[in-house]
Amino acid sequence: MGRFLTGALIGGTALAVRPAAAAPLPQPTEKPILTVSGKITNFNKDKTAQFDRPMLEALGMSSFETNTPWYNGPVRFEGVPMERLMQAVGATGDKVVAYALNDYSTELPRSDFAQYNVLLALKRNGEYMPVRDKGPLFIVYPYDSNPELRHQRFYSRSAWQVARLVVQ
Amino acid sequence: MRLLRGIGGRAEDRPAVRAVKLLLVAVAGFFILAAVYTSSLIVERQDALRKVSRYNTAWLASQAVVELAKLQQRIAAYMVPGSDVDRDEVQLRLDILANRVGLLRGGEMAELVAGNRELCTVIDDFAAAVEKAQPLVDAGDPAAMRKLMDLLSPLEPKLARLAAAANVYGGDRVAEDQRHLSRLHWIFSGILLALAACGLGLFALLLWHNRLLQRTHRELLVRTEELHTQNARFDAALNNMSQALCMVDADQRLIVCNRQYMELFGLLPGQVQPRTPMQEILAAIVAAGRYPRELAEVIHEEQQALIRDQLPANFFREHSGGRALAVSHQPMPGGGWVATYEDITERRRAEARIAYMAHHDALTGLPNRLLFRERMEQELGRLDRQGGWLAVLCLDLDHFKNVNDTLGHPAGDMLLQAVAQRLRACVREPDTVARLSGDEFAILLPACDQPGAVKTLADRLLKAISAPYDIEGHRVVVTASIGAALVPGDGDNADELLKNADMALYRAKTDGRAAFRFFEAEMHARLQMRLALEMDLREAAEKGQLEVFYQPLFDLTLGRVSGFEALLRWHHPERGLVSPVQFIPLAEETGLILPIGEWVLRRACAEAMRWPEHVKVAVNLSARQFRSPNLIEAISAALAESGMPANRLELEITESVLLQDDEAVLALLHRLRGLGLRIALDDFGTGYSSLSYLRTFPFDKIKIDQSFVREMDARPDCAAIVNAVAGLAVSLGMAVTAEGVETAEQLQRLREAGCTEVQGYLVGRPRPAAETTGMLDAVIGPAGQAAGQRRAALLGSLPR
Repeated sequence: MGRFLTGALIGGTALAVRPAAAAPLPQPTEKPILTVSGKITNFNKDKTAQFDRPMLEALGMSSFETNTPWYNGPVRFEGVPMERLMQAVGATGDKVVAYALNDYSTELPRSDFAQYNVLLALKRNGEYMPVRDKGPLFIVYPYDSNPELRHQRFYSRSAWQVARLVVQ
Repeated sequence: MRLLRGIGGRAEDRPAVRAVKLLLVAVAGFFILAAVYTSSLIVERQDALRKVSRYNTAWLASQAVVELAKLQQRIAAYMVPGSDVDRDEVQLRLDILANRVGLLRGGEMAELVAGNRELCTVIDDFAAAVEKAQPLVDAGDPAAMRKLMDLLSPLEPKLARLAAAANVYGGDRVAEDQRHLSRLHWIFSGILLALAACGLGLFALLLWHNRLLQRTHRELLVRTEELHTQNARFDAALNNMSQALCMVDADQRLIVCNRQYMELFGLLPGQVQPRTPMQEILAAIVAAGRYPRELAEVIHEEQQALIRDQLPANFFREHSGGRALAVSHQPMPGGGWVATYEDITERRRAEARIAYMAHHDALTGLPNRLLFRERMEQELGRLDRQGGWLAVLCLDLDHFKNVNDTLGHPAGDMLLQAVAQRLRACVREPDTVARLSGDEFAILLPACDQPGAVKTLADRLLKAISAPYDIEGHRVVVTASIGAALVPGDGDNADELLKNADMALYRAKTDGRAAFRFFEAEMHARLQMRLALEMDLREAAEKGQLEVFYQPLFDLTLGRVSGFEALLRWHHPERGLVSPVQFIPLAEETGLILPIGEWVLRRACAEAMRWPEHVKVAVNLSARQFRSPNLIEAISAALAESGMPANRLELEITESVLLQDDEAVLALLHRLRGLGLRIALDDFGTGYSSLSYLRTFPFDKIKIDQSFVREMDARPDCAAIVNAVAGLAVSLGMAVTAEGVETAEQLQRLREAGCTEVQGYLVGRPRPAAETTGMLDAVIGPAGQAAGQRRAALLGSLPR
């Protein structure tokens, strides 16, 4: 929790602390944009957790500004902290494999989430990200907060057009 | 006292130390620069590494191919009726492809395509195709799908080409990055090596620096040691000097003093701490009481004056109590001063004692000649200014020598002391009585009113001195002679006055002693004459002016001439025949009597050889000759030269000879007798005739003085003396010769008295040698033959 808080503060946005206990997941009201499966305990459809954009936003948004290799200049990302998402789905695994729309996949250790305050971004500079611009979901690290993060290893973990997460 | 000397280190070390410091600064600067540069290199390396690890362009490009293929595949599936692919799926894939366009346009792909028109065209075509695809997807009809397929197909090879190019670009970039890294590595290594070298250099520099420091340290130790030694030496010098020393600063506070200073003034170490005000030390000196307050203060004041004027000075101050301090004051640059002090009390006393001794006679305590002369000069100077009278008296004891000879020197000294006492008692306060030498005294009368007073005093002195003395139980009577010189009149300087007073004294002596005489100018003239006579006498023998005369001696028993007495005559070219009374005393005084006496002896012996063998020759010996150490040699030589037998020579000595040391005289007389000659006692009865002489030495002959013979007729006492002496001589077995026989009556009485021999005008006058032979046959006739003329003065008949 403390680590999370630290990450949130680094992100620069004050957050309301929500209870960590996973509430039962509601059913998506819009077209789901994220499916979480694997070692999770909270489902809402066939052993998976389906999220539409409001559901994700309802988990509580966080944000930070950072430089990236993909954009010129600093960019403000806003989205759901990955760790909070994991808690929301009652994730028990220690690895998460992210699948993109274009079938790109990458594996993230779950420990990164709390350690680096990894964000499942929905917005870039206040705008929802379209598929045409790395949307709808983009896993980003706050690269500026730690030189360690400005490395290919973390860049490759930063998957855009994320559609699915599998907890392992 | 601590003397500090500058510690400058060795001159050649200073530039070395500076060089080392500069080098150290340079090395440090180099280190800083290297650190900055290394930091920048590390940043650059990080950057390079970041580039190496950048997003893979090849992957980025190849994904375009994959995504294009997936879109085409979805479109194809969409065109097949009944497939589960809907238009949304196609739209999604197109969106994904559209996303790729953005990716290819941005980031590193932009760098890749920037310099390559072909690739630019590819991307532009790609973008354009995606642009055109959207309306077709929106239409969603099969025709549109076909058109879409046609639109996308040409993209496949282009995107493949882009992927290949990106792959190559990626490889190039990796290679370039590696080269860059390698270059950075080399630079880094170079810097490291340089830093290592610098480190070694720094180490060497530090060693060098350290060595310089050590050397400086050692030198410092040596200097410190030297300073200690110097201080020790300085302290030793300070404390081993004989004088007390203190050094004072410009504020009149003590810098340092030595042990002698403390000891001299009786100060304690606590009282002479550095920086103590001199005023306090003065108070301590006064309190210590080694020196009277007045002395300490007068010296302090003297020094204060010197301090004000910045003058050096050596002076001493003496207290009436006798304590005396010598001070040597020396100002120092900067206003301070150094002074030495010495207690010269003892020295002053000694000096006073020496001065007293130098000016006083040890025996009598009277002023000596030096002080007497000083007083004379002093009084003469006063007289010049004030006028008035002044008298100088010279006083001499008559025959003082006899006292010494008979009673011994200690008695003589006691007599002198007694005389001095009496003299002092006779004079007044301002008069000075001095002992000039031996029995010679002088009196200075600085304020005599007239010559009459001098005469009165002189008479008083003569009377006082002539009173009997009791010397060790002996009653001694002595007289004095006094000569006086007066100012004005008898001289105007000390030498002249003393000389003139002495001359007057001489006159008093020659006038019969126990007398007083004023100086008279005539005395001076006589002295001059005497001097001239002495000069002439010196040359007389050489110039053949001396001649020996011979007077016959007649043997009454045998009735013939038995011998001649040799008598000296001087034919002066100007003065004519000079009386022996005049020149014999002169010859005695000057010592000329010795060569002259020898000459007479030789002449007489030679002459006697021309006479018959029974005729003797008698030669007078003066006291001076008798004392001459070569008397025996001279007599032997005269005898040997002439070949005359010794028994023909007769030496006549006077009683005055016998007054001297008995033993030596007796020994000499016996030695003379040993030569074989005869010895006669001349002028018997005139001097201190003592019968004891006759007992101590067996004279061969006694000669009765002519004065008795002359008076014999008139005075019975003289006849009695002649009779007694003659009788005595006969009874002692000695021959008796009477001198000065002039008349037959005298001859008769002498014959009756028992005289064996006579001499005188009755027998014959002294004649030149050539005439002696004529007198050999002389016979004493009647009274008429006696010469009326008085006998000339002979040797041995000097006035006494």
